[in-house]
Amino acid sequence: MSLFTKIFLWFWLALGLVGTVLVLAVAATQSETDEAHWRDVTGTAVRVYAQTAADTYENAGTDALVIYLQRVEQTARMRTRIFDERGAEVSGRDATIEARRLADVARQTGDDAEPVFDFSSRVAQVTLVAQPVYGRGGTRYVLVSEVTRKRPAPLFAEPGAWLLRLVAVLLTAGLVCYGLARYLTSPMETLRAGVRRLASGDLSTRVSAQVGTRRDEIADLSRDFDRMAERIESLVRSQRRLLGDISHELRSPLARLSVALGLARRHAGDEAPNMTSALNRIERESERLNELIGQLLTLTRLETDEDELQKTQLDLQELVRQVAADADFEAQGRNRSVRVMASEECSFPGSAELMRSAIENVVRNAVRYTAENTSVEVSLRCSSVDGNSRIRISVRDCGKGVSEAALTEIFRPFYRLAEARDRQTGGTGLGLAIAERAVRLHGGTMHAANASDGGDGLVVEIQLPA
Amino acid sequence: MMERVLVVDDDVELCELVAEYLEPEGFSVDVADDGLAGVERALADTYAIIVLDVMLPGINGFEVLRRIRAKSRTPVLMLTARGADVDRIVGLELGADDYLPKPFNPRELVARIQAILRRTRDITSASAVISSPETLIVGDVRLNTGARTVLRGGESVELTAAEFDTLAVMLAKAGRVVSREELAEAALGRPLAPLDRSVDMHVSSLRRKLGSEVGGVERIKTVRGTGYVYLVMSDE
Repeated sequence: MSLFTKIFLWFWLALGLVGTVLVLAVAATQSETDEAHWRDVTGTAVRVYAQTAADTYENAGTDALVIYLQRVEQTARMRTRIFDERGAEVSGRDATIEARRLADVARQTGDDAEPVFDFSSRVAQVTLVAQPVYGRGGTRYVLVSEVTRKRPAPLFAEPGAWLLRLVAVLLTAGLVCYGLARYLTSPMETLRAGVRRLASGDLSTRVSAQVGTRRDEIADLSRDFDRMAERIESLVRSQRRLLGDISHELRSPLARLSVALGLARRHAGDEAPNMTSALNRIERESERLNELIGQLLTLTRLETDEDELQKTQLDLQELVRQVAADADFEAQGRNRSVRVMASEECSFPGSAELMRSAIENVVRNAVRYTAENTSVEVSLRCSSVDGNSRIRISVRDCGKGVSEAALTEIFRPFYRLAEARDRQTGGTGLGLAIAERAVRLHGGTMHAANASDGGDGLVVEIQLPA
Repeated sequence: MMERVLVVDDDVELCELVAEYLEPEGFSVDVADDGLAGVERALADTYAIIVLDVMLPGINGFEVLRRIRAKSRTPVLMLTARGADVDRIVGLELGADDYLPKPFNPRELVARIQAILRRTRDITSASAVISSPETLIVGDVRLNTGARTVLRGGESVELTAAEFDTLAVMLAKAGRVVSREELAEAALGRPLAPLDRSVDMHVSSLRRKLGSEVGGVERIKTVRGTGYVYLVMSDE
């Protein structure tokens, strides 16, 4: 699970829980206070009515009582009855059984201060309130009012409303947590992308500018990353430059050696024929040294000047044909040949110099390893898979192949096979490395595989996006 | 008669060795060890050929070549760093007659120098002998072998010596295929070496300078595996 998801879910869970509990707690206390307040107000009113009704009856008689009670019923909208000590309705009007029963209860248990409430009426939204009072003569009356009022709702009486509240809480919490998780993890993503780019070879990668103007551990980390990348970049660059400089500086003495060799050859002339083989050897070795330096320079250039790729539309078919023809010319001298087995019309935007050197290095490498009296087979194919076409140039030799483990290693500079035949065959150990970098600069890849069509041999394939 | 050669290279020891090698071959060698001295020398004196290193302190070989070409047509052989195709292309475009990657085999150096000298001598002697210099007209291009000028649609086109010779051969055989080997002999005065792309480079700069198409038809067509053909418009 990603860090983002983790942070998001945990914080959401925590905030959601807290929010829900809070809402429930507030709702509970709220309804309790509401209830208490209502009882208080209603109780006070009923107490006043009861006392007044009792006084009115004792002072002015039944008729006045009825008038008073009717006025109460009109203004306060409470059906009100008053009972005497024996439970008879004093005003002489009819009363419900519920009212009578409550009056009895109130007369026996209630006191003057607190009314008795009865919420159990069969009629919805009606609460009976009974208030016992004493008249002046010490007679005990009970006033019973039917109050129209919603019964206090139990906590989860309306699931819809509660669900809505819950959703609101969770949504708000979710939104906040999403923001928080994003804020925490998005610079991580940036950092991660940066690390990946660096690992894939883009040493100019820097991240702190993208992480922004934060001032926290993540910002510190990204600044540290930048410092690290800078250091790596400068190390690698200076190492490459050193390699290039060394190679370049080796050129001058080699140029002098070459001319001096020519002079020596002339001085030796015909009088010293035994010198000739030694001079030939010197020439061959200096030629080899020169090739090595040339390859090293090419490699360092490929590694450093990545941006100045001069692309033109290349006719790969012609390029492959030319390279094969040139390589064949050289191979014939060593009883080997290079044949183009398959070739298709194929156009590719790229640097002519680099693509030529890539194909040439692969073909020459194959010529070097193919057995005597065999051919190196070159084929060029353009295939279109799912709308994106690919170009494959494969070069197959008839040599011994290489071990499975070495298949990826052979693209490394100066990689030597265990058999160490390179030196005898005159390779510099850089050809495939140069080819691989040149192909990679064109957005392609290179693979090697042992021949699967029976018979020994190595197949090196260049794949290019068309 | 000794041919006079000017070697412009900052490697003094190499210059001494080259001089030592060239003198028995019938050359007298002068040496300039930086670019400015090279330009000065080249313009102050008459040389049969100038051997010019690309990598020079101060002003580089290309700049030296440009300054020499501004005033002189003395043949120039460039010494380039091996593998640096860009050097080669730039050198040839600026009017170098040939190039030789450094380090070089001195025998190869002598062969290249002689090839260039043979070619330039042919041109000068030919124009001296042939009373009426030939004018080749194909389509919109008019080439005068005597004055070594090229006009396209009446406008002068600046070509290097090697480009001029390449074009001359193709125009003389317009409509027919000219092999890369033939072009190499004509333009460089030497057989085509394997891996040598200088002929193709000359052709591609000709295409650029003359325009790759004339009247919607490709001017110089590549014949795969063989060479090039300068196309003649059908209505002519």
